[in-house]
Amino acid sequence: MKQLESFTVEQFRGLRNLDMQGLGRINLLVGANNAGKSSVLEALSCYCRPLDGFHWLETGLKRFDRTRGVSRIEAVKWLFRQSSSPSPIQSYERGRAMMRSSGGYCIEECRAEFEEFEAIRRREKGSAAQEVVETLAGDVSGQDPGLGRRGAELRLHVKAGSNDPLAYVPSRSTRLDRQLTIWDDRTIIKRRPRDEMLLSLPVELLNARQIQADSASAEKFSEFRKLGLYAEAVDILRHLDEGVRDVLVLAESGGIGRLYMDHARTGMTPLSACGDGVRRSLQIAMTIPRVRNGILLVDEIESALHVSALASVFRLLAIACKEHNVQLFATTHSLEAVDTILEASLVDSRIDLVSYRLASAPQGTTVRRLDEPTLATVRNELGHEVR
Amino acid sequence: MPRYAIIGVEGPHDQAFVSKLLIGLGFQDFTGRAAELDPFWETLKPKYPKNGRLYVRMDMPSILFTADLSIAVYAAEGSGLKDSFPKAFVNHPPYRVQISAFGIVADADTAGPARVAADYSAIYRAHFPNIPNRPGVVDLSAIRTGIYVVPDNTQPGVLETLIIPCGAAVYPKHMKLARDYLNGFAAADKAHWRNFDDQKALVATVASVLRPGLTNTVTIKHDSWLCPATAAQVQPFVDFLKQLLSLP
Repeated sequence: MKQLESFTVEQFRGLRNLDMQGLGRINLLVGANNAGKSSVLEALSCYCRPLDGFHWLETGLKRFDRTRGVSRIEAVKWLFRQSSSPSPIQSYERGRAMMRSSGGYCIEECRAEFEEFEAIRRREKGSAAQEVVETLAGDVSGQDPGLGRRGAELRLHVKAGSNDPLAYVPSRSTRLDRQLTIWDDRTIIKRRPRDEMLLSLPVELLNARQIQADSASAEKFSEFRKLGLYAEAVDILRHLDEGVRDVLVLAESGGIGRLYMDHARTGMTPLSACGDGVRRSLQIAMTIPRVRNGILLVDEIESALHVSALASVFRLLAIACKEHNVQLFATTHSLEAVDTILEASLVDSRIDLVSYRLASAPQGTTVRRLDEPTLATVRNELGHEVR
Repeated sequence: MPRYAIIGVEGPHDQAFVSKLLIGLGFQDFTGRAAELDPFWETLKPKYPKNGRLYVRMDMPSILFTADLSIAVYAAEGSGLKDSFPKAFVNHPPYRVQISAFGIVADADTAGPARVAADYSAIYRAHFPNIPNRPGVVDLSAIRTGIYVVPDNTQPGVLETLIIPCGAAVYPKHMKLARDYLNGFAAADKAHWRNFDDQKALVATVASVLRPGLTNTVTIKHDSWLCPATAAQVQPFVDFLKQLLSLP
């Protein structure tokens, strides 16, 4: 059984009443701009760590340019569907999200609520050092603005299904809750209790804008080597560039490990000097073992890859997903990518490809599912558009 | 906003035949310029090459239109009308729900018309639940549906079975000489012919005189096989089209 056999989203970002049945090992999401493809990846990302508010925050932050100082509250707020009728007090938003799944994953339902509030700092009389934070769920106009601070509550609720790994615990409820208070001007302390980890699926969301920085890649690559997967990574790079002889981590001054490529033409070359395609492929390849038995989410899978390289990269990716029991969800705008991925899946019967076309409709997000044989007929026999 | 209709046929001859009759009913032939294609038909634009086969021809449907109705006449190859074309409705649901009519035009060359219609009806019922299983019958639901089996919904035959009497009316000399010419061949020369190939060869022989080097498809579309003088021969089919497409 796959981690997820079906996934439904009642509400999350702009998604409404989305129903994805019959998921494959490789799930390709297509659709027009703003159809909700990336939102599905984010919904899956949150759903796989349903009690980890910090992960929800990280997922929300991925859409923002962090170099410009992002409001954490804003980042999380936009994971929730905004009210269609503007409230007179725009600053105080409430939202809810709801997702469900079936399959091998132990969670069958996740609900989340988001609520902004304003807190007033004041000093208690007779206790100069003590600061009291009073939360007000409403308009605080008239108060001294210098004293106000914005916060938000993220409340997460899950319902474990029949595969609950904690079911042995006597009198344990199948329902669990967590709450995270988010401040823009205060460090959020992250705690991750054991049950939260047990109720998670390994998950990584790779979006097109985030090609790992060198040091992070070096760390990941080391981990990758320890897992004995070095040959696979180098193999992928050789499909992109025949001149690649080796990939290795070299320590530089200060002891920082940096990733280098030994290349027939350029010699020892820092990975940062290589093209985006090489870095992107390595990034995807190195992520797979980290999400063993879990979910890999790739936004715009064709990004930075020439179509001639996509076939070999995808074939290796698909095989690696099978070997590491990873379920892949990838978005694409490229018909060439769809055809290339389809071609790879027809060559290798292990791939189990399904495509979903998303579209926004008044009643919610519509999904049109094409299994591999149907997709093959539509593209190869009829030659029709599927995006 | 115009209405839309889809007619699936078994090959380019049938496509030419339906197109010619629709032109006779006042429809215009689409120019073929991509920029002028009605966006509703965008999904039908085929990719090249098909299945990696560089010599396989493109099967863009013929598009015929009036001010308020646009029709795509799709010609499948081989068993494509049964095997692959139904998937077009899975892939693009608007072709199932936003059209006003769907029809099939098939030959009765390997089975009787009743059987042919029943087989197609069973295949397309998943998308058009009311599609009749009897040849020549039009269901008048919101999306009109019907299956016409040439030559006349009752006898076995192919499109040429219907065309030959038309040829006899407008090209009697050509038809006689063509028949004599074909009769001059020994049975051994025709041993590889399948059902109704004699009729196809007869039309092809006339076609080679009317349009040297060109096909039955071209002569059916551009010569006088279908004209006012032969209207009576094809009237049942024209009536079927009118009813299917809600034409006056």
